[in-house]
Amino acid sequence: MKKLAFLSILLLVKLAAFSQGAAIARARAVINFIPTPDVSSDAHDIVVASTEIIRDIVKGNDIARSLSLEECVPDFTQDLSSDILVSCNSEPSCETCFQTSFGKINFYRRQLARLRCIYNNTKTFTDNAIAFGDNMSGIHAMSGMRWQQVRIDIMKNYKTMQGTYDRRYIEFMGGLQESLRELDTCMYIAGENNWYIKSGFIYYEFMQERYKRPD
Amino acid sequence: MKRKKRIALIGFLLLLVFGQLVAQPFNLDKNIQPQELKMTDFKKGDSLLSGKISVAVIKQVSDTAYFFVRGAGIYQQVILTASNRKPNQKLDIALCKESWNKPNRSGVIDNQKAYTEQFKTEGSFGIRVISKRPNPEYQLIVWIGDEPKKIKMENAFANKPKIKKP
Repeated sequence: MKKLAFLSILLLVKLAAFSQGAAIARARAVINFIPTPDVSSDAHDIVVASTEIIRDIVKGNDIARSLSLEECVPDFTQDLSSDILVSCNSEPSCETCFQTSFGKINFYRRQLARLRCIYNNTKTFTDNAIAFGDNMSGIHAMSGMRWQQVRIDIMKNYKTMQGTYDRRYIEFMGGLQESLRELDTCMYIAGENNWYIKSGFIYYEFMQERYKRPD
Repeated sequence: MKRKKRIALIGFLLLLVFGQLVAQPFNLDKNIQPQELKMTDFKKGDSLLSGKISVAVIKQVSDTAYFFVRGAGIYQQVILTASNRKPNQKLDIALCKESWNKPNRSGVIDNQKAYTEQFKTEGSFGIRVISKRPNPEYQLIVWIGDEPKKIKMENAFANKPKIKKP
């Protein structure tokens, strides 16, 4: 009797697994990837046509919105330039100095903005995933157990992300300060002494606060 | 330059830290098994088209198919086009970032009409295709452009010529 009950349970479990596997198999699609260098393929026309579509779109419009309205997007539209009233008087070395230091400052602005957006988007995703999982896991005991393990993994990865953010933040802020010091040198060449002490440090502290991890 | 290259990789590393869990819209439904559309290098060095592309012809065996794409960056353009390969076929297509149940963009592929979307996003996103007729066949093309070397941004500072007194 006990043997019969055990065999029945085993059969039920196997049937459940089979039907789940079949459902998963039914849900899939058959994908045939077209290798783009393969000009002998019948699908070469697809590749050519797709190239033209992409070229037309890219040529016509380089401003694209983010996929999700909740997604963080770096914003560099605000004009932060200030009237410094210095001039290089067409001195080539002076112009080069300014171009180089502006380039470096913009590089670190870009990286800091990217860092913050990656972090904000990850935080939003994590919060939504945790909320979704907490709500759905109560429906079935097995889902609840599986969810707890997934939840631990999500939070562990999030903590790692926070540590990585902090390290990269320190590195980028160091680079930004170095670039501002270089700009200070350019200002000195152009006749503006002690620019960093008078003005540059204000920008540095503004950026320090703006990109500090909020949590 | 070496430092810049090292720093440029950091964005990629940040994604790897969270890559496993954010590779697709999040869901606990075992029946939703999104398939990855693998990206390959495309027109490297071309000033306009350099990037990665996935060109796929798909024969769907169920009414709903799920796909996902990885490797997009917030400074990179993404273009997706979808078109029919069979006549009299109508497909509902949706692009999803956070959840399969809340599409961020959607459209219809109807006969000769192709569906095209252009956007920017960080990391990955999902594509859901629903067909009311059995065994649809269509093609999906996803292109992710390289990050531009120069991004339009106002300088934080500017130097202007001195105003000469008369």
